[in-house]
Amino acid sequence: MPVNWTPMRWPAEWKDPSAVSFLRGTPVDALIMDPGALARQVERAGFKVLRPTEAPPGVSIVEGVWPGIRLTSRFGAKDVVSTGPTGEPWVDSNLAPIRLAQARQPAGTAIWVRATPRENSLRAEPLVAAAGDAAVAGGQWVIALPPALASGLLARIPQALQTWKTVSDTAAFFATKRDWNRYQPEAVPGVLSDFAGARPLDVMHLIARAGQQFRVVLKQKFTPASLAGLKAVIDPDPASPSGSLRRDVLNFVAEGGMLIAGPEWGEIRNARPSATTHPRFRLATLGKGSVAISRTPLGDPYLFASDTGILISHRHDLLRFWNGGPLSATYATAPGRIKALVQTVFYSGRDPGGDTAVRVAGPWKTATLSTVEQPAARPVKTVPRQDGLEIHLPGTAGYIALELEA
Amino acid sequence: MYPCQKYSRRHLLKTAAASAAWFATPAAVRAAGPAPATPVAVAKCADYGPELVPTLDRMFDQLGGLGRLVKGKTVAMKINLTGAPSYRVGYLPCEDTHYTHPRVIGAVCYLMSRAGARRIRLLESPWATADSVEEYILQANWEPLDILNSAPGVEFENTNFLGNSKKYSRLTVPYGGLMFPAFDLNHSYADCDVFVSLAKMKEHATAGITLSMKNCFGITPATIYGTGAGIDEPSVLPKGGRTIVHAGNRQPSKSAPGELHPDSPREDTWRVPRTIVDLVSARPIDLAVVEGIRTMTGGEGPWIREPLTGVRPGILVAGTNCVNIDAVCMAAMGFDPLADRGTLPFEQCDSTLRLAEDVGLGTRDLRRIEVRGTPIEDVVFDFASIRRARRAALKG
Repeated sequence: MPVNWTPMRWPAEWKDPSAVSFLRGTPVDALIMDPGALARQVERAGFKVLRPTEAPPGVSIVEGVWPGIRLTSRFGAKDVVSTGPTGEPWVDSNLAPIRLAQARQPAGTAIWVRATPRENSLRAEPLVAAAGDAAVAGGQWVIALPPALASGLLARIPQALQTWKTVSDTAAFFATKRDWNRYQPEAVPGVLSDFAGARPLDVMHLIARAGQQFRVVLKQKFTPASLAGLKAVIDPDPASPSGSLRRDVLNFVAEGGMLIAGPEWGEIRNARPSATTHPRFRLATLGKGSVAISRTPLGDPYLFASDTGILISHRHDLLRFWNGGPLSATYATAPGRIKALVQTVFYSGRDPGGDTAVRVAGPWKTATLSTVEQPAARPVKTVPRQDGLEIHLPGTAGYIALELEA
Repeated sequence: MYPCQKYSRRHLLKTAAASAAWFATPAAVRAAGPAPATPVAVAKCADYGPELVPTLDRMFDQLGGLGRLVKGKTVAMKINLTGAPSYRVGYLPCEDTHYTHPRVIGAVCYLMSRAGARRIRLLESPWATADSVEEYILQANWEPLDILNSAPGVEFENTNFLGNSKKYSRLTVPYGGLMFPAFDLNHSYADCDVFVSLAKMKEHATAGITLSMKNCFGITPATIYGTGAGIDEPSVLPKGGRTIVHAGNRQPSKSAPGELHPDSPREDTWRVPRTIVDLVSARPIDLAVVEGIRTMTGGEGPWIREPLTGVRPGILVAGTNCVNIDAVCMAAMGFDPLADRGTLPFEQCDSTLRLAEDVGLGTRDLRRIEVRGTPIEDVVFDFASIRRARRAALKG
């Protein structure tokens, strides 16, 4: 089944089909390459061959960005860390586009992420981060080697061979973890949108960067069940919904949820002004819930995303990291919520200090940790906290998975 | 976060020679008589358990009782939540190393309320945010309700920006100022009857130590004195640290009083101690509690690039004169409160205590300070020896 394939883009530097020898014994079984004689030879060698524009059945392809800390050239210096509005490093990630693709596609669709390495080097860390960035959201990175690595393999440069081993070990790790895709992502807010413009995706990206676990709520596929389990609905669209959608969202609020939206929502019947004030939002209560309507049309997505985190409150944080540096993390639970999975990718590309900790909300009692380097799950130190479990992560590489049990 | 700057001996000598005139306290602001001396209460307190409230209660009694200070009053209490809540020293919770512990905050609120305080306002300027203090401390894994429910009338305010007022309050330095003649601050520092500094006992990369006085560096709003401060008017939202004070790379927003001497040294080790003295003169501390039950050695927070260790000195110090209390704290840390620039722990900076004494805020001479409760020698936790050993290891 294509959903279980491990895809890789055939490097342009590999002109001879003998290069398939690098793929033997690895999980790579699908190669994306231009049609032609070389493709036919690779196919004859036992690999599935896909055209670059082709998505096999059951697969949706996301044209992604290269994940990681964005570097720029400034003040005459190269590779300066680009920063966001608070001075924190700006991180590119495919988490939000993957989540959007999952929402748009039928359940069970595999999401492949095509992203071209930004750095032409023999380093393994950026490649592990690319795989991890896709995996934390339930996607799969289409392995793409930088030219230096592809050439280095042909020249049998030791570092290139070592990096390739790391990449193939990473692919093997994720190939054995496909059942994790059956876990349901936990979320605090839902982002309600038709995703017609770029803003909702930007907002989702920034919500994820703030460490918030979110759910995509497509207006096109909306049912009242879409909001089940959420604490809040964020509507970043320039036009407010009408009819049954509006009614269902307001019912969600009346039952104890929260709506955060732009002024397009207009007057909300039966909403009563709240005693609490906010410089950028009009706050009101509606039934058991609350409404925060922006005083002005939604502008800066960063500010909006930051405000949503506070309006909802950090009290509801599902994951809370310390000393993690720039990272993406997702939290999913098995059916019945008897087990949980927390996947984290660290974009610094190296051990973030060996003293990273995470608090996972929920009734969890034990935790085990696995990494690409040490795939076998092993116990990890935990400290019980109110309404959660704090886990002390040992010095790790770019990606970790925590499995928790109640 | 402030980078830990290292200066070469040559650099320091050059700086000192070039600005020798600036290093002495100007005669115009030097106090005429002897600096005040008031009693300081000292106690051992092993942990944040049941012994905390009675220990603090006994200390306040040793100082003459809280009632005379807070009964019927609005109390503003500056706590220390330095650095982002997502940074820790190792795996240790922030409150065990560099934040004022929430149980100490709650205990002091409770005792103040019991002594008749009408309103207790907990103030801090959290790192680079205008969000509420409650939201900030949630990220440190604290439960704000534990503090808010410790007594009636307890509330938080983020003072890193305009906050719950329509304008900033201008507080003037009575002697004219070493660095600034006055400060524009969040209204909370003016709208109170009693001001309390509830500090953590720590070393500090820029100021040598951080105790009751240095804790008040954080009363300055980053919207005026911070990285992203507005040029003409304060910015709406605070961004980054207080680089304007640290580095002197520009003046505060023009709406606020600027530096008295823009040609003075731009060294943070010169500027920060003087600014602290100006701040605690403009906003006098009526009561200070320094908490060293659990804390850290090596600096004031996880971002300091020296070996950092969580420690349990088990010390509480309280008093009504910030210089006196800081002098006692220094002694309890194994340092000499009479130390000056070039001497441990002021190897690279001016002594805030010396500057404060010079302007007449209080004496740092232990012979003139009455210690009540536990003698200093019985509580000493030797930060000084740890510092020497750490620095020797770094050199080695």
